[in-house]
Amino acid sequence: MKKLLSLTLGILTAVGAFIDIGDLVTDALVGARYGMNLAWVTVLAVIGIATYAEMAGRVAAVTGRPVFDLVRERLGARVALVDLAASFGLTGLLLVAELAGVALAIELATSVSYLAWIPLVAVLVFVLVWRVPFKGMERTYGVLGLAMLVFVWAAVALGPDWGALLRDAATPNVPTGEPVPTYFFYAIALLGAQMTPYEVFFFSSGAVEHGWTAENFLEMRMNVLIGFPLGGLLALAIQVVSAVVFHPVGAEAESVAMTALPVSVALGQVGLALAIVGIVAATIGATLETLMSTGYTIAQYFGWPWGKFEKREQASRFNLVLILVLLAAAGVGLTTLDPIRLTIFAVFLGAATLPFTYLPVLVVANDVRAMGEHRNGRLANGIGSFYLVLLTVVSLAAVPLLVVTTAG
Amino acid sequence: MSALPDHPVHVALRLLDRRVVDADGEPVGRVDDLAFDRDGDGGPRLVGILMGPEALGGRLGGVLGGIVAGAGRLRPDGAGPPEVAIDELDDAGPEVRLKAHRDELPFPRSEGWVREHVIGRIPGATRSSSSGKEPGGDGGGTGPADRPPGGRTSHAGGSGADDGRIRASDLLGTRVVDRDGRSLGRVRDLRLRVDGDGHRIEGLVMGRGVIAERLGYAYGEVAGPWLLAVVMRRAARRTRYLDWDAIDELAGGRVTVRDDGRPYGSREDRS
Repeated sequence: MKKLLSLTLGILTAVGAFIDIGDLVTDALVGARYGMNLAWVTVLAVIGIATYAEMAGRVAAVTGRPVFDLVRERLGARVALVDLAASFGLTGLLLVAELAGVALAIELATSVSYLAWIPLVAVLVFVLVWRVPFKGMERTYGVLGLAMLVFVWAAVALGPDWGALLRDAATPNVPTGEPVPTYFFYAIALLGAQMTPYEVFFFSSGAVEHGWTAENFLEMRMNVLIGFPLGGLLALAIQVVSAVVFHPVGAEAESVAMTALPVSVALGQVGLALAIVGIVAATIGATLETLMSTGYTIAQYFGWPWGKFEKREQASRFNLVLILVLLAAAGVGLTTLDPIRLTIFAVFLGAATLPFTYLPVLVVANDVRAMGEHRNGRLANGIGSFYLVLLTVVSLAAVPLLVVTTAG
Repeated sequence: MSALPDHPVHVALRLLDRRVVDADGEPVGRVDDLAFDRDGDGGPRLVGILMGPEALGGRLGGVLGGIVAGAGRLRPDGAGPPEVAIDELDDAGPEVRLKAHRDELPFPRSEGWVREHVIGRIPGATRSSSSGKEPGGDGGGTGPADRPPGGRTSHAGGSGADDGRIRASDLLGTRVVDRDGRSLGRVRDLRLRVDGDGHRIEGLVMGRGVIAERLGYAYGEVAGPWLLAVVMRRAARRTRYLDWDAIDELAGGRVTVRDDGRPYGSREDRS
């Protein structure tokens, strides 16, 4: 049991990252619109994020320094400040969306408008951050997030033609009548949602909060190798149920309610209840993850004490940032700005910042003086280089695509 | 004994922007700038590290740098950014470790201010949320903001090269020109070496790109992965090195030199 609980950092990171509000909606949307023709993106994202999370976790364990520490150290004060502004801004936007996402999921269960729930969710999140230790937080939301497995159950219960789905996934093409730029817009949005920078900020800072050293490599790697594929599996399950229920009839899915609908079609009220529990837990997990990440990036850039393991009075500026960011996010959430469009926009632009986050990780993982015998081997370097090139191309293509497609 | 290694040190790669921790390993800031003294013969001698928003603002430059530096000047004494003398460093490896304990340091003041006026007033603030660390700690954690400043740190005066003092930021990023006014690129790094009583600037690394020198690929200190190494070494192929003695003049926001140095990055240049 203890062994299983030690995997919750990876599960929380991955569930919070693969099943946050952005993914929930984007997965259902692409499933309904493209069937399984974008499944390859999730496979690509799982391999990429697992590679870089392992690298960042290894660097954190050996040097005690999380990702944004490395960004400042390797890119210098100026370039790192630009990266900080971009990462902080986008993670903050996602926080707004996650808060709204939790509220939307509660709206689904109570039929009371999400706007009424946002302040309550913000208070709950504050109490969690303020009172609950890192491990307790991680375990609660890591384990509750497993309720999302109901989507896998629903996929099986729907009894789709697996052969046809697999054929679509293995030989992806742009469905007839769909414009090609829009297909790639959603491919990038999905990749951006699944490889968001806050995952490595959170995972590497969490590794430091756990006090991991080189002796914990096995534990760290198990977290990566179980957490991220699990997140990917859940994402694919959402795409499958959406593809089965909505794609044949040409329905559009662009809301949390539409994401959960196929589960109630397949499993009835019990399924829907489980799905809501899972969505609430996963979006609260993502809220915590994005909120903590905004604090981590700022504190690590300026060299402030940070973290939940610090006694609070020793990390007062870090805690002040968390409180101010949470207040601001709740305020923006209440403006009735459409959280779904906001998320798609944020994850898409987030994809453009990915090379800046991952480059320093790859460089330090190859620094003989910093890493010694634990530096990257050929496998990590091979995969890491491939993704750096891929993400650079994505980054360059992102803004022109946004203009051409006017955001989907 | 100096905390810095005996072999040549590239400061932008190995010292600037590093995390600074106190004797217990608690973060107290980052190396935001470096202070040099232009005494004696040879290049400027490294005398201390500068920390805090005022020093950082000076490095960022522009309007934003002005705002950051302005936030740093809110301190009551207004005496310039905190400076820690180089012999007060315990170690300058992957992170810079000070000999002093954080309670002996006069900074960071904002941490104490926020603790006293904001965070400390929220219910539950004084209890650690962790079960891993012993509760209570050393018992002296609250209210050190009014402690007298430790005698081991001082404050750097204003920036500028007129008082015999110079900062790393006065050199880094500055345009290098020859006597005919032809541009040779910008200063990307400073190479220090042990010289009698301390570390002195031995020479400048100049380049037209930004990133290859900064990431260490130009001097072979970071080797892989293969693809990055190839791209970065190509970007750094025009990186040059210039002895400090070849500098004619350092004025008007540029460095005038009397020769164009030599190519940099061969095996002997690696530290």
